Amino acid sequence: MAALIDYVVILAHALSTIIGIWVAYLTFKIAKKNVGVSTYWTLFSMAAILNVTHGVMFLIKVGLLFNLFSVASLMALVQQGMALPLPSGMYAFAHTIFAIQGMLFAVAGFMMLQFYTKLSLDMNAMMSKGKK
Amino acid sequence: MTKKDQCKKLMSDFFGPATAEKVDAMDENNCVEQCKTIVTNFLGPEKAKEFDNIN
Amino acid sequence: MANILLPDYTLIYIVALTVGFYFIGGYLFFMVSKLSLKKEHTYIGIAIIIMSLTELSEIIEILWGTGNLIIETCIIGLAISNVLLLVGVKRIAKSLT
Repeated sequence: MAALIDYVVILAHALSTIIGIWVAYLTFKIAKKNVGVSTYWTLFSMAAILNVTHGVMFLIKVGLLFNLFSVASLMALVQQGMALPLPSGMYAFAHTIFAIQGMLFAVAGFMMLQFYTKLSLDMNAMMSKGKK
Repeated sequence: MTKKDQCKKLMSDFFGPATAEKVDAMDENNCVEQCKTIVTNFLGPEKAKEFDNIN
Repeated sequence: MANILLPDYTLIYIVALTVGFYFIGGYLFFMVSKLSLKKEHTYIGIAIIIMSLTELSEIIEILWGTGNLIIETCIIGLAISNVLLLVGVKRIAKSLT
């Protein structure tokens, strides 16, 4: 018997997936317009799209909740399909994706910080030149 | 609205309030040109065209 | 879900790395918001920090097996933080596109 929280968690995964795609689309639009440093918006977009991992979790949890498959059969499928040099197990794979997402956010954040630092310095330089 | 106020609004939209505050230190006659230069360098000429509407 | 977790510490290292990356990312966005004074950057920073807390809850669950409640709460918190992320990004997109 599934508790209410199971359904709420499933909805949370679905919401995270949808928002991830939405944010990826918006930031990709900014990057395409080449406004500012499009690299960090592209990185942000790539980070956001990785929220589709929550979509996979959504599908798995729905499948388990409605007994569409069992954990054992799911694990067998995962083990079959993953000849990657990664630790086996879908949890590790999902968290590896989140590690990549975190890294992309960190790099995008760093680039954005560089942008604003340079902006601040350039504005100060322009104003001090104007005063002379 | 004065030229400075219009510049401040645009700079606030593009970069945020901190950058907009710096416009106060600019001269009324030069602010449009200076802000346009900054926006061109950081966001490209397309966005800088919005300063052409300031009178 | 406990039987899906690895018996070794590899998963913990991966999740710890994830916590670190998210935390750094969120902190960097906070620093950007200090320079720009834009609320949107603060929202994005908060959202990413909440993502790091969600991952931290995973480590707590793996190490101490407190049951899924903490993770489930954090997943719900993660969804809410994603809403905050969307709000921040939408506002920025509106001003730049």
